[in-house]
Amino acid sequence: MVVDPLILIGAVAVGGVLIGGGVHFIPVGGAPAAIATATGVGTGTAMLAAGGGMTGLITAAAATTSPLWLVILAGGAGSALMLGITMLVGNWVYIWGVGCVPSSAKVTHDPITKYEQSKFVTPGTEGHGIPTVCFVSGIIGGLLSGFGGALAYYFLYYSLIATPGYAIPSGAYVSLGAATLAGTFALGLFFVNSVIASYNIGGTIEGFHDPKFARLPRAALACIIASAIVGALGVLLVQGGSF
Amino acid sequence: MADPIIAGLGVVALMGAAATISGAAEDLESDVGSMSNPNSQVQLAPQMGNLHRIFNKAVSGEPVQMGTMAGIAGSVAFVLLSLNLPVIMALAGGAAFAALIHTTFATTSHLGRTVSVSKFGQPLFLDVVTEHLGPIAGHGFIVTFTIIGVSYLMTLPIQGFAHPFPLPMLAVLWGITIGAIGSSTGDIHYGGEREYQQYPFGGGIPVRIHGDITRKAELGARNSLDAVNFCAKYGGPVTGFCFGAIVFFSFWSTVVGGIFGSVTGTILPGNSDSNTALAVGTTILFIIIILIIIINNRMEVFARNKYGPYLK
Amino acid sequence: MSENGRGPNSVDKRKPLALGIVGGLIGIYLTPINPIIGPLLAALGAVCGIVWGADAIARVASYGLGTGVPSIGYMSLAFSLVGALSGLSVAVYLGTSYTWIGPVLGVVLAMIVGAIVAGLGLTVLKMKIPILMRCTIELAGAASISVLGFSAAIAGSYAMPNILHSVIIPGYIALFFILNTMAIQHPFNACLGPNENRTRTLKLAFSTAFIAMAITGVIAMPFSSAWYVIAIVGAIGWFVSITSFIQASKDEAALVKWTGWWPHEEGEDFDKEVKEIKEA
Repeated sequence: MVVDPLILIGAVAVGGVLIGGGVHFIPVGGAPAAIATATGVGTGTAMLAAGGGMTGLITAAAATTSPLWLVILAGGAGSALMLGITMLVGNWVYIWGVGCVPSSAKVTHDPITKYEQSKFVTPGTEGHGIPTVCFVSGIIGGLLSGFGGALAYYFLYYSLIATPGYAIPSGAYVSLGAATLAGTFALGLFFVNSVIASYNIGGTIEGFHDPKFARLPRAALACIIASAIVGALGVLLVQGGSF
Repeated sequence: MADPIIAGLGVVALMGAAATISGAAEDLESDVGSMSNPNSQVQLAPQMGNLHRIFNKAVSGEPVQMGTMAGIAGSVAFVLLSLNLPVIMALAGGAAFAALIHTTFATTSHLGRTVSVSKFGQPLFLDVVTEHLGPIAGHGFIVTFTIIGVSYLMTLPIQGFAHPFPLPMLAVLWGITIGAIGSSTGDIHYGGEREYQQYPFGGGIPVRIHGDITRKAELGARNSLDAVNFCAKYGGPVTGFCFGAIVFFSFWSTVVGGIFGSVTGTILPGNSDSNTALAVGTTILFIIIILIIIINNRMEVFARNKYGPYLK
Repeated sequence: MSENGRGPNSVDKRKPLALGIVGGLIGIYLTPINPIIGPLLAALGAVCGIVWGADAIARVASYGLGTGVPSIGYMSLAFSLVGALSGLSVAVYLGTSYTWIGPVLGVVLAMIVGAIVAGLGLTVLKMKIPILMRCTIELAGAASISVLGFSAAIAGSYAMPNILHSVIIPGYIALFFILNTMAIQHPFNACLGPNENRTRTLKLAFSTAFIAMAITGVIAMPFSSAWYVIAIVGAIGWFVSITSFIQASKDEAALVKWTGWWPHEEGEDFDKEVKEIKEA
């Protein structure tokens, strides 16, 4: 399969937007959430997204020899699985370790379950734990960012193995150099877009019901431009295989 | 020759067990050092007039720290494996080297942050540094050893594994993941409960008491070893469960899916057989994800009914 | 607040910049001169790059980025690593007589991406950090020099085929991504606080840079005959710089004690509590 350079740039740009957009869905509360003062997972935006993305990248790369749709689905599943289990266990700690009810002070009722929130929020805090709406939002975020990383990985891998320098050696079925380089490239794309998204979020976000979610278009624009540039670098990387 | 799927499941179980130990040790390591997000309160305390004897390990976020340490351990283990050392020795050697590097980063961050709040009179206690370094390095060793163990198993040419990424890279990726997990789960037990233990159980930490951390133990001043004694009872084990479950289930797509065909990573070409297997495996993952959403919702309902609303 | 972020608390920003660009590029370009001295110089070039990056990150993160110090570090490393490798790849495309263009092109490409990302931050995301542009470009340059320097030290050459064989295929490239992030962001992150002293921060920057160099030396073992030279020089440099950092910390601390209580509560509070416990 020969990948057109423009398709590679386009795939990386779309992948970057999916990562950057996905980060906006992931409920993170940063340092306040780590001491049960804000709703969401108690860590930084970029780091949680990257952690999920890494699992997605591992599962996507395990499917390297498969067609595009399977690589993307595997990436999304891995990423969403990591975020899902992490949020679930995070809630265990909130409920049984800290003794508080998952609730948010940003909405009066959970948009999905319609549970009332304000009565369950500790006075003086902005909520704590991960209520259902944040949980579902986080799963969506994991899926999107996993899809994005896998998309970039797949297209760069197939661009690279078409060149003599990275071609699959005879007797093998995967080019290790191309897989590692494409994996590192996807890793870089993850960090660039998740940091851009976290600058846009500026600290904490609870998911798609958070007022800050309206800032998504700005981040999408920034991510698509930045990722297209990174994609252009990917095209240059492919040129390096001509030896 | 054993059935490859049974063999694969055995390896996955071993990896899950290693990952469980890894996750528990990672959380406890971050509690001994007081790092990541809860450390913001330790950092804030002197400013609020609360001097303390808690370790202040501000080595970036946990994901970057654990990614670096696991990456170093994985790379050194890779070097030792290339010298044809026995696998277990190579992995231990890599982890031991990473543990040494870990202590230098821990020391410099405690010195750096403590001295940078000297304005508020926070003294630099040298015994705080020396008595915490051992447990930090020890827990770090367990984490990196198990992470590179998992990564090594993934690269073996077994059906369902044979991952195309090399050992050092897998170590970095899993290191970043374990750091993200540790700071999202177990750390809350340290930050939300242990740091504020003088306040009643059962609620979040209001903004007005931020920085008023618990500084005294049953006898004398509290140090971070007291924190780890407490968190080892809940925060650490659940973090271990979390990472273990992630590693265990993320291989179901290739191993359990393998019942419907052979998914073989780098050792055989992809074909329609392996595609069916992967599709089934990925579907299993999606079913697990939906189950997790339902379980979480049940837990939320349980907490609402059990604890009830706050009384005015 | 001056352009440097903290007014008097800073070193002349031209010094780390000159050290990073000149020292870094000279080190990388001297790699092929000798199989032992060349890789050593390349690794020292990467050390210069890391110190430059640590100073740049200290200037920009003094403003408070909203997501902690490390974020801009790993973002810069991410696109700089891709940029640096792209530069080397273009040199391959141009032919063997143009191999020399690789490192400088890699640094320039990384800096261009840095400028674009910082521009997006200022215009699209409306971040209010006046020195974001300059510092992100500097960080991109520093990060790409550090990656190129360590890669060249292991491969013994800055040509892409050699780096592919001895840095990318073994997976060291992912380690350099995270290790150099750590080395560049750790100094300022560890010394953050109202009494941060830039000179002390840079002493720590030398220590993290040299320890990264020592690690590079150890992992270069299967590929380079110069591995022990890099590791030993890195370890010596680390020892000298961390000794000076620990001394500076002891000098600047509010109080250095081997053990004991914090000052305010040695007296009345503690005694009162003991009394209360006895009464109860």
